[in-house]
Amino acid sequence: MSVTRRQFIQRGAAAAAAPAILAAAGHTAPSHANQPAIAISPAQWSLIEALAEAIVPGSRSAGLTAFLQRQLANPPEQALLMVRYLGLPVTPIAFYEGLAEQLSAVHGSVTFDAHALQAQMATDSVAIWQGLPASLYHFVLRSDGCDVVYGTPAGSKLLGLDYLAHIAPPEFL
Amino acid sequence: MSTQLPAQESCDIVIIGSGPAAALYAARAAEAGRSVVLLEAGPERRLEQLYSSQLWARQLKWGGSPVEEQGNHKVGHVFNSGWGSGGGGMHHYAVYPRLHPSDFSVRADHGHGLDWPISYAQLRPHYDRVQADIGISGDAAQERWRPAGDDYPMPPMPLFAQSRLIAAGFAQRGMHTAPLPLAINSRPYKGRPSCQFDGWCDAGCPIGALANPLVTYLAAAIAAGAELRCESIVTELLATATGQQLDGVRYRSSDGKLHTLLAGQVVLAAGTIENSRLLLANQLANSSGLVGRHLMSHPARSIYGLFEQSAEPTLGITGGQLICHDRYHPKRKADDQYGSYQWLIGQAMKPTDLLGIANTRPDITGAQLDSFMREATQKMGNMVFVAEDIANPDNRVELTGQFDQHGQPLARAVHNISSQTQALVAAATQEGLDIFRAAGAAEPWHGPLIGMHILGGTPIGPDAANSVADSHGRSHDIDNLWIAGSSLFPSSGAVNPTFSLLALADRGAGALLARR
Repeated sequence: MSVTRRQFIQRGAAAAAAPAILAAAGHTAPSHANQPAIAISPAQWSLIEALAEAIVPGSRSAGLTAFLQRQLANPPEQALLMVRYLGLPVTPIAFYEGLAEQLSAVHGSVTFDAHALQAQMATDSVAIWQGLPASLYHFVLRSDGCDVVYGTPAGSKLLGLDYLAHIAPPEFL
Repeated sequence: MSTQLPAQESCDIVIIGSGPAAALYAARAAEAGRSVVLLEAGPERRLEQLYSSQLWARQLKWGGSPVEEQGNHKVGHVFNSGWGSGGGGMHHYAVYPRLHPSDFSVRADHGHGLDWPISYAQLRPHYDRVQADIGISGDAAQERWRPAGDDYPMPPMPLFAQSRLIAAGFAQRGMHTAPLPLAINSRPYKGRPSCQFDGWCDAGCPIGALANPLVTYLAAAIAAGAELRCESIVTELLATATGQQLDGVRYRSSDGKLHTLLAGQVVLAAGTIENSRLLLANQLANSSGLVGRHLMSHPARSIYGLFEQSAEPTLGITGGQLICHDRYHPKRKADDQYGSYQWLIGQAMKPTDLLGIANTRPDITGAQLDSFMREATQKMGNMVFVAEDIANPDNRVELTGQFDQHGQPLARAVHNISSQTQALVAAATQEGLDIFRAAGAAEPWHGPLIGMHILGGTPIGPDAANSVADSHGRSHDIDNLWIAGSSLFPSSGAVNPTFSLLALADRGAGALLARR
């Protein structure tokens, strides 16, 4: 199923409606203290990594998985993840655990084709998807993938840009 | 966690928050010899920690208890609020146009929203004073729409390629552009250096060229003896038995201990949502029933396009390089459209982030993404309209009935825009696309409609029948409670609010210090 640019942008705007969707689904406010363990298995991390690589080529070698794992271990207010920016009433950990759960379900029901899946996620047309909209996960994972590939001094160099830092950022991996 | 209270401290003035308005109050009061304590909920920010990175810049955004959002136009609380010393001023873009005189009388003139209890002429001296304090670059003569005011103390910023290209599109349509007024140094000003045009404004500007509070009023306040206490979350406003005075505040420090700080005057400058949330949670200053009401946010949408030649999109200023107020008047543009809007032109864009180049086309993935990034980081141009919102009592901050881990009530922000505003932004979007085509961008596109800035909730007005505070920001109900920030705005106008909230804070601080 193809999606037009206009349709996709409209869905991006609709992603901003996620807080209301979550509230209706009974999610509650997160606790900022005592970060819980991250319930994502190595196999699920592999699925996330494969999906991200299909959306943002180069994100695997740029260290997306390590970036996500490190950021999820931080208190939410210190995380450098796109999901924190969106003000969703779920913790970053809960958000990514939700993605992992859905990818496991997809993996268990059909042949896992990351390229086909990412296209379906962009249009919210994954048949068995539950919970938060697949397009919201797609947007966030794409943003995090772009951050590790293009949002660093190395990424600027890849694009032929001078980074021009006033203060060079610390390595986040 | 201990709840045992230590010995009570006292000061002349306690200020809740440390953003631009809080910092101005603190500077004025400390320089007048008053003892001042600022209580900041977030961590301390230091210039040497302001890394040039859109990823690290996210730590400057709201990091406190979550705010639930509802409505057809969410206010974007995390994106639009600050966390840590300097507050939202640490990531603001320093775009400093003034409100227009017509913004002060929208109800009288058009029957929409609320009127200000003061005129532009009454606020003008405070704009001029703030402008001289912190420095603004611009070209007043080229701003044909500019309200009366002193000339800018610094010349305008240089233009980069995208702004020259887009300006040609405005000119082809008979529209006018002028250098964007910016609280960023185009030359050294009061010991602060010139901008280097590298586009890292959003990350806090560690060199001090941009007038963030750490290098302006907060620095002045601390130099004059004000004390800044970070990671200090105010939990209670301590009212007297009559409820007409505050004795001070109670706050929780990072070690979990509760503290009582007595004060002769209390300044509430914690940000738009927090100002209302704290008053609602304490059931204070609300005889009007309007605390939290008339919440506003500027509807804004970006226009993008790729040009044939280099546009240098990653260079310059995050807030833009040019401005157009040709559409500020008339406010009633058609039977179904109401409101002013401004164009801000030529924002410096970094490759990633919510407003970065990659997310302008979230539909591009896979092998096409890299090609897009390589082209767009060289040839993209962009601009954004900022539209007026209509104050509506149904748009509000309210308590959710839930509590955070410390037992503090959580807030919900409900915000919808009217059909007249929706028609306005649809027309502005079309105009923007047409301007880009006229400028030579073959296939311009636009982003989603977003909420830019958060205003209202504790509006000023003549009395408690229609407002929360008087024209200086002093509560109608509580004699020694002063409210500061854009929560005081009765109408939004269509301009970035920081300059106006600073002018209003300057006026309020003067009134506070005139009392003994």
